[in-house]
Amino acid sequence: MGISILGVTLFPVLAALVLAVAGKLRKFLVPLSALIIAVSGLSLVTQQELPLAGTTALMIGIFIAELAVIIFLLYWGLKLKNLWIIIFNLAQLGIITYAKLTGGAVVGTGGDLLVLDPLAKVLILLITVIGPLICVFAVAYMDEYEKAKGLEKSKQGRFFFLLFFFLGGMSLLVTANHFSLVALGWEITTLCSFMLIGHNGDEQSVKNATTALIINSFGGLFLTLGAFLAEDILKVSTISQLVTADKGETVVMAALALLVVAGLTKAAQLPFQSWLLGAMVAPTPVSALLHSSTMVKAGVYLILRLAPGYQDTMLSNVLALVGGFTFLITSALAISQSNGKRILAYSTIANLGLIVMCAGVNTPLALGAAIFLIIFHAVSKALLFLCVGTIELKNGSKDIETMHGLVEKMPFVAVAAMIGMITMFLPPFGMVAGKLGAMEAAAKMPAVVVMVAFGSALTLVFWLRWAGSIMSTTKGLGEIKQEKTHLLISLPLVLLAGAGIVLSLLTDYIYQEAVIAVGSIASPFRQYMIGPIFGVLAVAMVAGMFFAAKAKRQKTTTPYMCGETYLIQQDTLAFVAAMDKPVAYKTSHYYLGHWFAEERLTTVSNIIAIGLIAAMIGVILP
Amino acid sequence: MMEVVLIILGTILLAPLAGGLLTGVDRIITARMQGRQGPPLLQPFYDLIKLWRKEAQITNTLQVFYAVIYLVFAVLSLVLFVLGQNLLLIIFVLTIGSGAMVLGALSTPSPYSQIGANREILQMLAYDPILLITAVALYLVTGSFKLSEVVAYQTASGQPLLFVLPLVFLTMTYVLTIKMRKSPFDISASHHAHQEIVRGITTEYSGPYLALLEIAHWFEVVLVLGLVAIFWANSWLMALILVGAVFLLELLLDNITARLTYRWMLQSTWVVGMGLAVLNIAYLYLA
Amino acid sequence: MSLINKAIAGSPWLVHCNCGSCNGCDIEVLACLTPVYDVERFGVVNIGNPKHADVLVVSGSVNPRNERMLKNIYEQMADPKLVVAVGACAATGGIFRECYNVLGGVDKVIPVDVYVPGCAARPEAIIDGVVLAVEKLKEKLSGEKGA
Repeated sequence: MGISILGVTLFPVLAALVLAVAGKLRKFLVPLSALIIAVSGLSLVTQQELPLAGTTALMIGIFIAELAVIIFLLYWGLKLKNLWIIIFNLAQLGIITYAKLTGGAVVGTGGDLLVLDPLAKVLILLITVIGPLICVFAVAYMDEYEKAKGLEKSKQGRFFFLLFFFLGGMSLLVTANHFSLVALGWEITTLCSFMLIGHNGDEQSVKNATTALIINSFGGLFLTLGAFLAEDILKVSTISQLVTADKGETVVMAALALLVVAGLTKAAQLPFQSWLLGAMVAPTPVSALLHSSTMVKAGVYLILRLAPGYQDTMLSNVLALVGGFTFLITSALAISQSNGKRILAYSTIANLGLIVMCAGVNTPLALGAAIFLIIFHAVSKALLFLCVGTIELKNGSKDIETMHGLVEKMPFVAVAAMIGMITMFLPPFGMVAGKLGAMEAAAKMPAVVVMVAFGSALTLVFWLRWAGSIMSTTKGLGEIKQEKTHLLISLPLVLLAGAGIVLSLLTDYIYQEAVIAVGSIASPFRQYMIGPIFGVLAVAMVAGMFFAAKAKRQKTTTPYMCGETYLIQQDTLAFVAAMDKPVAYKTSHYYLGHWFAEERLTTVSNIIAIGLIAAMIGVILP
Repeated sequence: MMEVVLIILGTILLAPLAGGLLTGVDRIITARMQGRQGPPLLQPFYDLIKLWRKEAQITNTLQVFYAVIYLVFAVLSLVLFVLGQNLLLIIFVLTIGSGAMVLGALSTPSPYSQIGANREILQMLAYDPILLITAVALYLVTGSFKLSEVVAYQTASGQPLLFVLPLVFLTMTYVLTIKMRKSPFDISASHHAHQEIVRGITTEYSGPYLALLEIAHWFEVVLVLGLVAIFWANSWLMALILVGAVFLLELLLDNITARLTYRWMLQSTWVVGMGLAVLNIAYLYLA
Repeated sequence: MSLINKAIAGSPWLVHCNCGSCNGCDIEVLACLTPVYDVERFGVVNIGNPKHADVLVVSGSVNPRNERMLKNIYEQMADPKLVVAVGACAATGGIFRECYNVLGGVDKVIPVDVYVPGCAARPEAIIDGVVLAVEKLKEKLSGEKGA
């Protein structure tokens, strides 16, 4: 059993070290390491439990590792001359050293240093399957990326080192039960994400990486504080002990609240969203990794993990409001964007908000829905980011207005992106089962469910228009060319798209395996009739394709343009104007900027969100 | 099982008939309101048969694909409704259909159908949350999202939901105007605005493909009126009367109002609609 | 088959195209839709989109500038389709016939099925024209079936 846990935590770190210096061999070593990680992950989730007792030597080792990471972050704070980073990390350093000196080494009792419940298994699977897929994609992608950037000296060694190190840290974080291990995993992910966001090293990257580090250090401080309360005052050293502690005690609730706020920062909830929005300056695999299976999911993971601790408290109710509010506002903000990656980023934050809301609603159905959302969001979002990255490389832009007629130019990627989008917001796919479950669970809290209803309608807008843009033809008579895609790029896309569809069919199974421990017996998601709707969808697709194929032989006309159609060079449509001159037209989507102006809405909603979080901490006071 | 199959078949066969007849009645009443004689009752069926017999003509094959998807999911949402399934699910299935229609219109390079599609998206933005909130309101009263249980609740309590949720009902009928493509919200398919956006979202469809969209729309009209009937589900007679009254009201509204801008539509449905619905729900909580 | 023919004849949707008319005939075409004449009795709808329409109603004479437009609209209509030339100008070029920039009537560019005379053509005449066009359509259809 020990091997598979080492395979997902320690092996990625070793692989990272090798890959840092592997040079050309990376092309083979990355897929190989990816495979090993995936196999370890799969074998890990078949196990029942993961006993690991804490020895003094081990605890000291963990402590030293954590100190090292924090000191390294401190070094970066000094190097960037950023006061906030220095303050937050110094405070953390002070607290953990103080705790160590006064409380002695709080050694985990029994074999509960690690945890392997269904929630952890879900996260392990996502990290060890989707993460490596993204790394494989990165092999082919980074070559082209660096070519397009005109980089003289390849920085891929550093890049792959960080990617794999990141995966190791994430695996550690989601299997950790002891606070020291949680904190170590937490700081490693903070560190790696910071380094990856700043990968390009230009001014914008450094600036956004600094923002990410400030916010995540702030979250880290909250995590350390929460752990300190638990370890030093309550004398509990693991999460599983904390969540069973007496809810009536203010200190317990305070520890929980602090940890939840830490989770909110990592999950980029309002008002902490800016770091995730800035993160897209990095190469696409980084965004894909941060947004899908790692990093942000660590935040909601922690919140969900703590959910039994604050069940039926006011804290829980306010948390539902925080999540619902984030879902509503960021969905609205996504409408105001035409930058594809920014739309995806806002959509990620919105869906994390939905998951946080589920944690706040805190009923078995809600928690089940949250797990569904985590799984399906990870798959679809990874797919979408990889697609947008590929499109950006070839198209030169990630603006959705430039993606008209994409299906003519790159049919493969366009269809993959289409599957990614459809699985995000339409039934019968798992994401919607999760969303429906979330709404149903939240129905007893009208304030929350109203926000979710409006947010859900807002998400329709930006997905539909984007999907419409890529699946369109530019002159109506277009022929579809087959594009060449590198195998290492197309393989992850195919696998992710397939997973998005197949996993949706397996919702009953997923419910049994992944949710049942936190949920009830019969899958409530059955009433969403995923099977029958899939059947109908299949019939509709076949019928649609049949008629479309038949239509190929039918009369094809140019679009109606008041009789004044003009073809410029056979591929751009224009109207004929005075003197028989062509006048090209341009269509564009509505961005509703007068309602959803990004800057204003962000300012206002940040203030409200800060108020909500303050209220969340406030309600725990006796 | 046999029963379910019969219900499904019955829905698939009868709904377009009802939808067509309703459209025929609609056109006659509209004509009378304008002081005209109007077409024969069966006119919508003549139109449909004619469209079906016309030469098929396309802009690209994608739009054909989407038209089929639209029809299938319009049918499916009605079938789910008749089978008394989860209301939230029905709303989302309806979204697949409308979404497919939008995608079909966006797939062509035609400026008119693109404008129509974008307006249709905004229409969805206007009615979707209100429908979801209606479902939530039904849940808060009856304790279930399942339509069969919502109906059973009314039969058991003997009190129609209309009396419990009058403001929610008002809001819902208001946004259903959008789904029925009636003025003041007929801004995406524009039955009377060809100077402005030709035929909006349907501009690039012709012949049999237009017929597909028309049938799908009939299914949706029947579903819309079915949603109205839910509010007085303990008596067939009263449900029919309620549906008739709402239908007439929509026609009156169609004839006495001008088309309005999308901003007005969104603001009025979101602010007023949500205000009324929330007021109603709050009242339920306090009472 | 009679139901299908009846349906086809009972639902002529119009698209109206002004090829440089003086607006006299256009006004009369619109007059047909008013309560006094109400062409919707015959299932006629002014649809405004050639892709949906069965009958192309043209007013005004054709000139080199709008010849291409007229052809394009005619091409975008789906079969079976009919053309009704409304007014003297559309029928023959009318008083503009001899102008240097006028090609003549509509039939110089696309095949015309029915000519409606008048300057401007009266609404009754236009309705008669459309009904006649529909009759021709019926003949066409039954002819096809016979052959």
